[in-house]
Amino acid sequence: MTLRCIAPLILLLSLCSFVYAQQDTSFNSVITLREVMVQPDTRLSNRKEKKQGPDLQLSTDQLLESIAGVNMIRRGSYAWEPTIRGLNAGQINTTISGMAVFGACTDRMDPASSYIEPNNLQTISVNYGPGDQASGSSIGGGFNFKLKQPRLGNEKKLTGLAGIGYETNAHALQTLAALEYSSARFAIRGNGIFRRAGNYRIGGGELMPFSQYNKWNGGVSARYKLSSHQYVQADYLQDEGWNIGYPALLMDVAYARAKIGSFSYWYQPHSRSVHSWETKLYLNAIHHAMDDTRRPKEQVPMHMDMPGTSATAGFYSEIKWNSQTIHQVTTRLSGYRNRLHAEMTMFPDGGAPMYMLTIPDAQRTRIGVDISDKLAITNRLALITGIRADYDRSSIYTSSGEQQLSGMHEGELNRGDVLYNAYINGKYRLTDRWQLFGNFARAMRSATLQELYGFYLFNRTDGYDYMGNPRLAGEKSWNLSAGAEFQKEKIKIEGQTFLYLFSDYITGKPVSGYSVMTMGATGVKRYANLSSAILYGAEATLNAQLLSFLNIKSINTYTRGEDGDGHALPLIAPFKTVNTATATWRGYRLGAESVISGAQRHVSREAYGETAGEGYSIVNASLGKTFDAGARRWDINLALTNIFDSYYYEHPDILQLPRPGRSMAIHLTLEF
Amino acid sequence: MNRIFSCAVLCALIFAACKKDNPYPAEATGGKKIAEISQNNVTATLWADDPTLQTGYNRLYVSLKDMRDNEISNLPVSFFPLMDMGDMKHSSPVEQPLCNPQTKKYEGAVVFTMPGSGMSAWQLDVSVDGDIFTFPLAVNARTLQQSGVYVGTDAQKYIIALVPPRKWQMGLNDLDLFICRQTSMMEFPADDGFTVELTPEMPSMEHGSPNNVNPVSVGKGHYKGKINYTMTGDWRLQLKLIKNGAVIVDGAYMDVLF
Repeated sequence: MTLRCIAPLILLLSLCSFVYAQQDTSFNSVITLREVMVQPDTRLSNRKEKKQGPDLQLSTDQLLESIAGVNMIRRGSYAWEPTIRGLNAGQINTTISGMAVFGACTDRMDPASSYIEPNNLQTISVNYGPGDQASGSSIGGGFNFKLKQPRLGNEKKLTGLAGIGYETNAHALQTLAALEYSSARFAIRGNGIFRRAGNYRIGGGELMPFSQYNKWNGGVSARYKLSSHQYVQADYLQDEGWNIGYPALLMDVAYARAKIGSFSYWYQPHSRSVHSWETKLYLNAIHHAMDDTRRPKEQVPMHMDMPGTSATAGFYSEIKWNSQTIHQVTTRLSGYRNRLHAEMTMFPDGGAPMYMLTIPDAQRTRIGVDISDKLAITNRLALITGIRADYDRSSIYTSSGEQQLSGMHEGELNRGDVLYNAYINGKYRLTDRWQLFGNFARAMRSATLQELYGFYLFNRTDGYDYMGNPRLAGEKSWNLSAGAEFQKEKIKIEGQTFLYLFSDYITGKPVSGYSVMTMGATGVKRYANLSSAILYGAEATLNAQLLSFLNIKSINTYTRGEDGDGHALPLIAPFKTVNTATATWRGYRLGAESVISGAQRHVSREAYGETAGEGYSIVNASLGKTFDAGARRWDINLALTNIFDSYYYEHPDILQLPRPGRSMAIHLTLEF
Repeated sequence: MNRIFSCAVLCALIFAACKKDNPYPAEATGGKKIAEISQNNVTATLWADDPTLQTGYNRLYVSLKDMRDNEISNLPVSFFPLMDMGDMKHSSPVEQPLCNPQTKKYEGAVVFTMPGSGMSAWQLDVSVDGDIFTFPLAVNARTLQQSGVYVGTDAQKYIIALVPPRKWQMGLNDLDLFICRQTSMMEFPADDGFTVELTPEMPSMEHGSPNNVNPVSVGKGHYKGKINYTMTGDWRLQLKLIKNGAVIVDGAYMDVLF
């Protein structure tokens, strides 16, 4: 984004301060600055989990991994890529407080979730389909990371948090702090974290080279109350990572930088028609550069520079309508423009440097309308229905980008797509103990800019260079799910099965007559539509307060997918069961956790380059204690992970990269 | 609702404000003056695209003026290049000039088959209505091979030259080859009888590129096709010349760097 783009935005910002806005009421105010709420599928099944004090010292990736149905793809210690029921990349949406954010790396080294820290967050909400919180058309749902809101009129004017943590494996060190000032009309909050880690040791003790990382992240949010009905808020977040190793890939990362800013305006008239109205304008820019200079010479046949940028400007305006009937309608108008630029310069020994655009200046402009209606039909039956229409304009915004693609694609590169998403979620209370729920949705997504315009993007898993295809049809699916919940006193059991029927499933097909760009690559694939694919599975969770001090929790997930040619879909985690027992007594917490994963034999080497993966079993334990000292609260937490030092990996991990072996972490947190 | 609409319109304006300008300005050609000769009340000026001439295909331009500084564009003009090596002399392939009515310059081309200066030097005889203007020329060796003399399997000598474009760029480019046969030291008739097979490759990368179009004869010795450069850098254009089903020249190549 150039200055020329920013200037009219400032103008727009000042104009929009005359526009009414609204008070956000979607989450209540019990959430304090030391917590982050993880909410899978909130409105439907009301599962939510508060992560407290010491959990702020976990990474966003670790928090995501604890959610049922979410599996992470690891390429190293840093920036794991989330999947929801095996769906990933363009099949799921990631937003930060409703803002569209897209990673800049062509090799998926920087999912948007890598630019935020739990310390920034109020809630992480997960959707498993095009539900009422997904911001944008999507097949597999998505994540919304809601940034922590400064609180007006808090009892204590000044609150804060400071923490320090150390982990033996990788000698990971981190410090974090947050401070909030609150008055009746004005509140401001700042937070920061610094993390660094060396190379970790895998199960068995071997060192994993190039698994280090360094990062800092800081955020400031300020809210000002203009009148009893309206207030404004500005948020700014900056995240900078450097010297980050990706042992599963051929290159590391020199830097990954994100600057994310927004301005919001709330209007909360509590009138008969409008309950609240929120309007937000935002900008974000991500700069990312791959780096091979730290790798030994024999691993680098040719030095190359591969920087990429992603810039997004957008807005949304959401109104919650009041109604005297059973309807509770929310409408939302949103739009953004995202520009991606990625390039590669190769430096052969004794030859001239070679330059190319790997994402040849591609942009997407989206404008969408979303209407959802929450109906309380009877006190037993509730429905949430919604439709969403998006118009996507995808194009190449420079002539050098068009010229780069002129040798690959004939005809028009620019295209427009209209997408419709519709869903109906139902919940029926059978008895006081039993509740049934189901979901039926029609979902569509546009092909990503990488899938449309990518230029020799290397996929490490199957070893192919991928070419975009501007003629791709959007991917579509019918999503069905059904489940039941049983709740009796302190036991809650929930089970759910799901089925996704895809048409125009987007995948890569080998093309002949193309020579590979990446040295050692197997061949070249071009993105293509496959007539069909199927994905199905089940999730079951149990939560029981067995004794007053003892809680047990069990999360069990299974997913299986197959494309129309009979090949197993990639990046699908096998059966996994996570069982946790937590005892709390006089401020002490004692936890034990077992994670067991089955082997994944349902893989397709031919189509997706995956190899069968072994199962594993690991055991974790933790001990914590909270001390209250007047207005201050100290928390110390000791966590022992992978106690038996097992060698293991999750199936979606790239090239079956082994995960860390035994490690002990100590976290000390002070809240005031 | 119209507030939302005005927001959307403003956003659209922001987006519209970000359009980039075309980074490629049009380039003038024949803008470098090589030499000027006045004789018999006519001043002839020789121009080229680059300030120095190089081996291979060179576009050459001649402008003529009378004593009153009026441009002359109605006289027959022809080029005759000559290399004088002392003990022997030879010419080289040439494209006879035609007057461009816009620029009033006579535009032609010469393929210099070797470098020359001093003892063995090139000269260009420009005949203007029978009157010869002799321009001594310094021709440097091009660092990249963009022309070559090949002895075919039919024992004939062929000269292949790459006609340099205004600018190479990533992606699809027009490719123009100029092919002549040498029938004597002084005669180089254009040869339009070949089928050309083009295979580009990057010597540093061991890869080529897809979607190239083999050059086909368009007359007067020119063969036009398309070449797809997937990236900048060193490219080698492998060429195979086939006539009546028989491979006449194999292993010819042109080097490109941009």
